[in-house]
This record gives sequence, C-alpha cells and structure tokens, in this order.
Amino acid sequence: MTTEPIRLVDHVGLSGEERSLLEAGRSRPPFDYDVNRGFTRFQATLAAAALTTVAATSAKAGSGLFARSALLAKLGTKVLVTVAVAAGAATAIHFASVRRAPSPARTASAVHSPTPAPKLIGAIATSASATSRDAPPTQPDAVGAPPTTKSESGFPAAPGEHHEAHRAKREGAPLAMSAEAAPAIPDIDVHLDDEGSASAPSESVIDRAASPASPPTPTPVPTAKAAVVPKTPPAPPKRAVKPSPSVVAAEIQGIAKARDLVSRDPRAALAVLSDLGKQYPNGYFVEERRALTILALAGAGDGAHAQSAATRFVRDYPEGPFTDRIRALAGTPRPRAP
Amino acid sequence: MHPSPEASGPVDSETLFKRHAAFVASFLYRLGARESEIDDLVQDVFLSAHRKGGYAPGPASPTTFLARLALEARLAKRRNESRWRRNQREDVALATVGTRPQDPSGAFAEKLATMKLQRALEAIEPGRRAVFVLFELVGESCESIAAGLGLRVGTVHSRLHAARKAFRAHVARTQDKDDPLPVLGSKEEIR
Repeated sequence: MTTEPIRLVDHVGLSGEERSLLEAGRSRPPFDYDVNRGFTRFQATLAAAALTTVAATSAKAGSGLFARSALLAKLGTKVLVTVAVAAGAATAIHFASVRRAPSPARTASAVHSPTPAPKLIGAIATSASATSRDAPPTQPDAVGAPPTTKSESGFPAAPGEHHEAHRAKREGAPLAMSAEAAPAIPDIDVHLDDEGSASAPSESVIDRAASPASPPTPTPVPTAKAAVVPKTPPAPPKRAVKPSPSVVAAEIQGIAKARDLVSRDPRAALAVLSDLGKQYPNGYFVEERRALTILALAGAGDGAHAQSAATRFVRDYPEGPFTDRIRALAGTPRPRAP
Repeated sequence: MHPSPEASGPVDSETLFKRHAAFVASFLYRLGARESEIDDLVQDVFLSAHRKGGYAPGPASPTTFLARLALEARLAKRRNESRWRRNQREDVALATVGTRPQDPSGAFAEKLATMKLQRALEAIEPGRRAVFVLFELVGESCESIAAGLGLRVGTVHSRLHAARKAFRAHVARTQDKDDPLPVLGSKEEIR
C-alpha cells in the first residue's frame, strides 16, 4: 500500500507566495456559482427529458398500434386467400373424385371429411409447390397455379396430406383445380410478392413447412374454424386511438406527476396512478401507468402485488420499452430469441 | 475546500447537484472553462450523472466521480469549439454567477490571489492539473482520485509530482514580476 503524499501547503520549504496561492485556492472558490438558479435549470431539464421520454414512448406505442393494424390487415388478406384456395381445391378434388372412383381412405380424408378445409389447404399448398418444383424452369406457369412454399393456413401439411397431394397431382387433379381457381389467383400473387416468396421454392423451405418441428407452437388439430381464423398472439390492451389533445395533456401530466413521486413517495404515486386508472381506463399511456404502478408497488414494499402485476405486464407487453426493467424487477429472464 | 463527508448510500443527481454544483463549477473554471460556458457545463455534468443513475458508493468519492464527468464534459466542449478565444473570457453577463456581498477591501486581495492561482494552474498540463486541483485544493486522497478518474494510484502520484513541479516553476518565474492581472492571455491569443 502506497503512502499518501504530504499536501504541498504543508511542506516546510514552501515559499510564502506559493503558500498564499494554495491557501487562497483552498479557502474560496474562484467564482460564486448560483447553485439555486442552476438547480432550477437542472430540474427543468430533467422534467423536459422526462416528457421527451414519455412522448417518445407514446410515439413508439403509436407505431406499434400501426404495426398491429398492418398485421391484422395482412392476416385478413391471408384468410381471404386461404378461403379462395380452399374453395378452388374443394371444387377440383370434387371433380377429380367424380371423374374416377376414389379409394375409401382418400374419400374419407379429402372429400367426406367433416372438416375438409384445412387439410385441403395443406394438400393444395403442398401440391402446388411440388408441381412448380417438378415443372421445367422454362414453363413456370405450366400448372396454372402460383408457386407457394407452405400452407396458406399457416399450418404445415401433415405427411399423409403431402402424399395425398402428390397422388392428386399425378392424377391431374391440381391442374384442373388451378384452372378452376383462376379468379382467386391474383390475390395469391400479391400475397406471395409481399411475403417475398414468389420465386421458386427450395426443398428446405418445403421440408420446413412440412416438418412438425418448424412451428413454434404445437400443431393444432385443423378445423374449419381454425382455417378461417388463424391463431394470433394475445393482443395487448387497446389504447385510445384518437384521444383529444387536452385529454392526452392531462394524462401526461398525471403520468409525469406519478413518475416524479415514484421514487420519493411510492404510496402517493400509487394514489395518483389509481386516479389515472379511473379517469383514463383505456387511456393513451396505459403501459406507462402500469409500469409505474409496478415500480410504485415495489417501492411501497408490496412485493406480492408488484410481482403479479409485473408478470401480467411482461405477458401483455413482451417487447415494450419498460419491459426489461420490469423483468429485472420481477426477476424473470428475457426469453431467448428463436 | 475539503471533500464533504457523504452518506454511505447512493446519491441521486438532484442531491448531488445541491451538494456539489459549486465544486463542479470551480473545478471547471480551474480546468480552464470560460465563465460564460460554466453553467452549461455544470448542467452537462449533472445530466451525465443523472444518466449514470447518480453516485454509487465506492472507492471514488462524489467529488472525484463528478470531477471525471467534468473533465469529460470539458473535453467534449473543447472538441466542439472552433477556437478558444480567451480574450472573450469576461464578455458575457453570467446568469448563474451569484452576487454574494463581499467586503470591498478584502475582495480585491482575494480576486488577485485567485487570478494568480489561475495563471499558475494554467501553466500545468490539463490532465495533471485535474489531479493537482483535486489533491492540493480540494483535499481528495490519491486513491479516491485514481478511482474517480480511472487511473492507477501510481499514475496519480506521478501526475501530481509533475504538476507540482510546473506549479512551483511558474510561481518562481512570476514572483518578482509586478503583473498579476494578465488575464487576457498572451498577445498571440489576443490577436
């Protein structure tokens, strides 16, 4: 351990001039800084920064809402395309079954099944992709159907269905089907362009689509209802879409007040947040309010409620701006990216 | 000026401001910041402290913790400046310079000593000057300075030694000269 040097001002051999300068420097600051005025400015800066954060969060939430709307529109398009393809497939398979006597198994699975739509969707999707894969590159439209790589319903085709589709294709059914389903094709084309999969599908993509391990959730039992309404992740609570500026300003003020109180007086913050919740149950800053409530509950020592609220919060806003902090508070690790 | 005893727990930025803003302003001045820019720099320092979550207890004292932020703020400011014109040093009425009533007879002597000290400090290279100010004028320990500025203790010792040498050389050089107020800088700088 090193010894501390002696201060210069305590040196014996210091000149009077040196000593007087050092003592002057130690005794008074070089100029008089007005701490109170500086502090007022600092507080104003902090408040402005807090409001900027809230505004940025709101903008992010707004864009999230926008993204959710776009996702819903996309899903709607998918449903329409799915229904159109299913209708075409059902018609074509019906024609094929009329043209030649089907085997009992095939009849049971493809024609007389009480819930034919999803299976047919899977079959037709796989069939179409297999057809385009088998077709010569110089005649990409020979089959009359657009190439697709996976089931339009979002469910992977079961292996049996895959086989079934191949057999149907060999029998010429998909060709007839595609011709029959021609009016629905433009929609499919647009959808495929959007998905970026309009090019010829690769084997691996098809295999992934057919593999039961590819979807993140267990493959549900396909039903007609499931085919029409694809499963979506749980939607977070709705925000008011177009609140009036005065309402937003009042809500912001309440949020800012609560934020200011959270560290100093969590119980007072809870009271403010409770009032906010009553006044704006579906306000524009619900996420902020809920995050602050959790922090206030934790600050007030109500760990049990904070923990349960944090769990609900993380579930509702898995990617929110406050979620990492709430996760850290609740001690829940961030799930790994797939 | 001595380091104030601090509570053992963390200190938020607002409390830090109330306790240490005067020190930060003085430190910045001694680092060579213009009076007109000191308030902005003080705000920057404490905003930076706020972003870091305030002061957390450790080997660095709040003073040396803030000294590092002040050094960084000063360096950032200098990087953004096109040119530092010392002859404009006193040209701005400062909103945040206080108006503490002073004894007129003692005020001049104090001001004179402050100016001479500042001239002596300006003779020291900035990195060494920070160590010198913190150790000799603020009274911080070498260990705290090392922790606050992110240096090794040995480096603090060597910088302190070099700074003392420069300080004493400057005082010896200017002791006999009857020109204690060349605050406008050299002729080259004025031009």
